[in-house]
Amino acid sequence: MLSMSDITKIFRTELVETHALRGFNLEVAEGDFVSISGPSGSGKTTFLNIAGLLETFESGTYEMDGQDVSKLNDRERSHLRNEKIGFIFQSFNLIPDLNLFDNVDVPLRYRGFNGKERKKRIDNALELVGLSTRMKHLPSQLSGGQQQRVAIARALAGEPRFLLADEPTGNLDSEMAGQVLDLITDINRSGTTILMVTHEHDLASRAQRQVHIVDGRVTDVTTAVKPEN
Amino acid sequence: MRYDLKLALLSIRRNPVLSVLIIAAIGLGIGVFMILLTAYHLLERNPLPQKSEQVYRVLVDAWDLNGEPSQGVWRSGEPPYMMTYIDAMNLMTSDVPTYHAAMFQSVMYLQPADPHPSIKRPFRVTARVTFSGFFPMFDTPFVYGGGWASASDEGPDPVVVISSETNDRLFGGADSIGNSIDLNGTLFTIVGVMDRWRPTPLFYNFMTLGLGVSPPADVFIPFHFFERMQLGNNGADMGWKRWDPGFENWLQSESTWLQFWAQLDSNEQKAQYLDFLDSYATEQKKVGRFQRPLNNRVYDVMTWIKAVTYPLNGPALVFLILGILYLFVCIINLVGMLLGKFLGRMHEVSVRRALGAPRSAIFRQHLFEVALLGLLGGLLGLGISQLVLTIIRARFDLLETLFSLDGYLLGVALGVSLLAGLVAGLLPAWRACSAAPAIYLSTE
Repeated sequence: MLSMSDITKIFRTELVETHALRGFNLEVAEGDFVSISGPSGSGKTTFLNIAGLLETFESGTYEMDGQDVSKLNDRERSHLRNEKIGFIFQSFNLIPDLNLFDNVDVPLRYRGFNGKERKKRIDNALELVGLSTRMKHLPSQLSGGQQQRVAIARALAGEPRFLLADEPTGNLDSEMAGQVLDLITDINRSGTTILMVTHEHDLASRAQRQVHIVDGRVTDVTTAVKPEN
Repeated sequence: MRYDLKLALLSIRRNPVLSVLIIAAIGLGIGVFMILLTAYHLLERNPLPQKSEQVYRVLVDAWDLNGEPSQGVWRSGEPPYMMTYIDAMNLMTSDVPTYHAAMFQSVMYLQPADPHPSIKRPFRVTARVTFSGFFPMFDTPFVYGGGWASASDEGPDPVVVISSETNDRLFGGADSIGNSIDLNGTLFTIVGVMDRWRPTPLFYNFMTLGLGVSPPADVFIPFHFFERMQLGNNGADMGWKRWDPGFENWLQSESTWLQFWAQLDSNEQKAQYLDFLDSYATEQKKVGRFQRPLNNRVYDVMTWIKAVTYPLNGPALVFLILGILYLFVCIINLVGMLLGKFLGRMHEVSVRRALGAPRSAIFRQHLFEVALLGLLGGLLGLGISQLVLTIIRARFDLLETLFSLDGYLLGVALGVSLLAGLVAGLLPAWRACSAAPAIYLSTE
């Protein structure tokens, strides 16, 4: 369902070219939980941005559900991103002056759902992360763990096929990180494909497949035995 | 649309100081622009909208063969803009126009006929010396009474129409019909008190456009008192032929100094009147006058205003251009402020992009915000211009209908402010929507 083949990404300035990804290959099947780890500057976030259609690439092919995404225009990429992809960021990236309800509402607005449908999805998503009673609160009134749960609710409200998580527990203490990771694991068990970038070995080990990147190339892939549900 | 409005209001609330500065920049630009546009608009105003196409300035070419009437605004090939006494009196014999009137402005000294509690000495007034046709032709409004009857022209009867301001001064605004006033030693009976009237521009005069700053005249008296009282002309007086000194010689001279207006209600009437003018000119040629080819004209009110106000349009246009330039400077400042405002929230834009917002949605959201800011700025600008115009009106005692923002100007103000906002917002909105979201998401 997600196939990257020989992807190359170069960042250019007037003085220097940086090869973020060099012949990057990855196949992700429906329902996979893949962790991507590697040292700083290895290309983890670049991979995630390309996977999430936030970045273009120089060469190679990237197919999502059999569709070559390199040929899509901005509107089509945005539509695909909105419909099929959910993002979880390290710094939560909630909009500070929107309350929880309105934050979760953002992707649904661009999806074109009517008010009733949006409300139903927002209620369900916030219920799932245990914050349905706080939907009128602003992000600043929540703890870091709660904010990340809101971000997860926002990512899930559109019922995406893929959840892309960039260091989702990087800003959380260990207890909250555990809760968030449990939530992500549960989401994967319910069928959502998860690609998680992390540099923490413990987190990476939760995934069924651990992909290690160095200098923009996949250097190692470890597949764990799928845990029993 | 409602979502865009919600986001725009949220953005304004998020950054109130910058938002107020942006609104103020638009407001100032629009305010200054609207004040100058109002002044310019005044020169293009129709002072007689209900019948400006039926009322005509009458011109006959009594000038000599070689010279040209150098009347300041005179344009080559046109007859003189004023008329000799001989011609005006002859044209007054025509029965073609519905109404017609020769006229000029004089200065007289007014004294209450009866003892007055505060006015002890005669005071100077402006007098319009004219015919009875003046009032119905120009639809002059009256508080009390009306114009004099045409029979009073011939007597002439000592009747007078006074302005409401003169009536306020002499009679405290009470109905003064039937009372008398002393003008230059002659008692005149008041037959009409004009309502506050400010034809703007003061079209029937020559060059004295008035712009509604003062009443057109303090008193109006029948024309033929002019000969009896040997009143002087308080206006332009131009001719091509010398005359011997003396009042009678002046009357018989080729000096042009009278304004002449006629109401012609149909094209047939107009054609008939032009025939009459040509016949008159042909007759005058036979007695040695009107040496130039036939060149008689009638100009309706708006054509006349354009003819005599075009020298004023230049400076007015300069002011209008200055207003536009000022607005342009405001727009340039606005671009900077909007860039600061929009680029300051690239993180939010990137989050929205990541969550599926296409560039077009982000662009629309930002343009909606600048349109809202533009409209708010426009409303502020209207407030500023309204305040300044109110001060000007109060300072110069202008009618409220003058120097004010009519529906056209309100529409222009809101349209220009919306356009200014959108023009200023195009680049910032484009920058906001075209930035790569990944940069802002990863650096946050």
